[in-house]
Amino acid sequence: MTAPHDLDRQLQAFLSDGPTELPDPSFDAVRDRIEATHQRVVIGPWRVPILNKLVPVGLAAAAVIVVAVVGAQLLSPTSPGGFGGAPSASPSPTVSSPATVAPTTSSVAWKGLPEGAFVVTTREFLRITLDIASPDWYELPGLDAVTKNDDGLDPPQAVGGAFLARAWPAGTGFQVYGDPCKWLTTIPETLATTPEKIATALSAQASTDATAPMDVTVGGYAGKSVTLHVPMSFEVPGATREEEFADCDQSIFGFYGVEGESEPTRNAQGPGQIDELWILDVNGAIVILDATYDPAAPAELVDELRAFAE
Amino acid sequence: MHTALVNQAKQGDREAFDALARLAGDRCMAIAFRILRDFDHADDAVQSALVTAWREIRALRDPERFEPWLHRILTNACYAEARRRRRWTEAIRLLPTEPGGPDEYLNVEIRDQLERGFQRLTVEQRAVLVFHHYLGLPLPDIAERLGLPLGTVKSRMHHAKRALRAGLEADARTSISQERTA
Repeated sequence: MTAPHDLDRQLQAFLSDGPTELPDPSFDAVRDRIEATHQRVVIGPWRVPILNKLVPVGLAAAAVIVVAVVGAQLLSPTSPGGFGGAPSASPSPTVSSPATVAPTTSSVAWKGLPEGAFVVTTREFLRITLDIASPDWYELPGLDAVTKNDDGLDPPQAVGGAFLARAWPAGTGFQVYGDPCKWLTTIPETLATTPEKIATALSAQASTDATAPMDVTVGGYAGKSVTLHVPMSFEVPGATREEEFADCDQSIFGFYGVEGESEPTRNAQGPGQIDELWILDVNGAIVILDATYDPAAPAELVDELRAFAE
Repeated sequence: MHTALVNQAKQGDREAFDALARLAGDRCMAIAFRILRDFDHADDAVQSALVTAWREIRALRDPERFEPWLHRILTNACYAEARRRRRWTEAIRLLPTEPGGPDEYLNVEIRDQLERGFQRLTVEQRAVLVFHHYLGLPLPDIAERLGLPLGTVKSRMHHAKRALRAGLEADARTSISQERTA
């Protein structure tokens, strides 16, 4: 018989053998590859430390999202554009780069957002402001999103949710895959460029049990809404996301991509995930508001997510 | 690990990421080799993991957690490499591991038996063994690092050791039987 402690010692000795250095040519190869690789600014795994689980939920007053179109020439830190109602018509002589008003992406500390207006998305052609109406919302830097109750798990075990506010310039073509699991082989020949076409294509996707598109208006801008569901049939208890989606192309369950990108722009984090989308036409630009949550998310959180857009 | 470099890399600084890769690459190679038991496959897995880390680093919330985050990516890269390996090779070749110095717990015969036994484990079981017996991480830390429930880690550890022990004992019985018939 092999005594347990003997096996442990043998394993340690066995595993201590072997290389411990990556060869220099491999480092060089990595460097070459990252030169040709863009960082993904899409929603991937996000994690928020649990700071206070005793968060009173359901206390949010109705939140409001204001989509403010402030042509690049009007964009200024002092411009009130975007906060409540119609776009500002008063150009500022002190034109600033968008970065000066964009949410910082270098903040390390996990600090809850203060209640009030929060600029979640800044582009040359628009800015999106959320009304944070309750505590314990956190920014997802660089992702144009805020999150709450993130417990570090993927769906379907998680209880958190996030609200994404993403924008693309006028004329951007969207690839809405015929099947999110087989996205590589179901890329449509025709790109979708309007909320109606995007929503219709999402609604027709295989595997997502999507709702039919509905007319919506957010911040005065018309569009379509649709809700997507990631099938629970992908669930493998104890498995990682990649393991659960192992049968999908590149182990990714991708909802849609945009022209010029080789991978999905938005993909699922796990089985059971629900995404309520508001797809808007903002003077030609496409804005997709995405309330994404896990099946175990409390109803109060789902209400808060919806309140950002409704 | 070098929070400033991580933050710079999150801002798209390739030089900073290159520096991070050089700091973390050796340990990644050590882990990947021990999971995959093949130098070339481990090399591929590490390169793939580092490129993935560069692409996804903006989604890393806490720069202090870079190394555990990278190790999770690396482990998934090892899984992918193992799957690819299964797909493209009919048989898993044994690795030419360079024998180390004399070890009171490990003679050549036991080492060969462990090598065979290790090869028979699933790559997921091997990963748990490597993180525990090579990196010295406690099981809850492994669960966090690999994104698994603690129960799954315990289960993989239990089944891996049971399979290894059974393999060693079977080898020992075979060896005794051969000696008797000789």
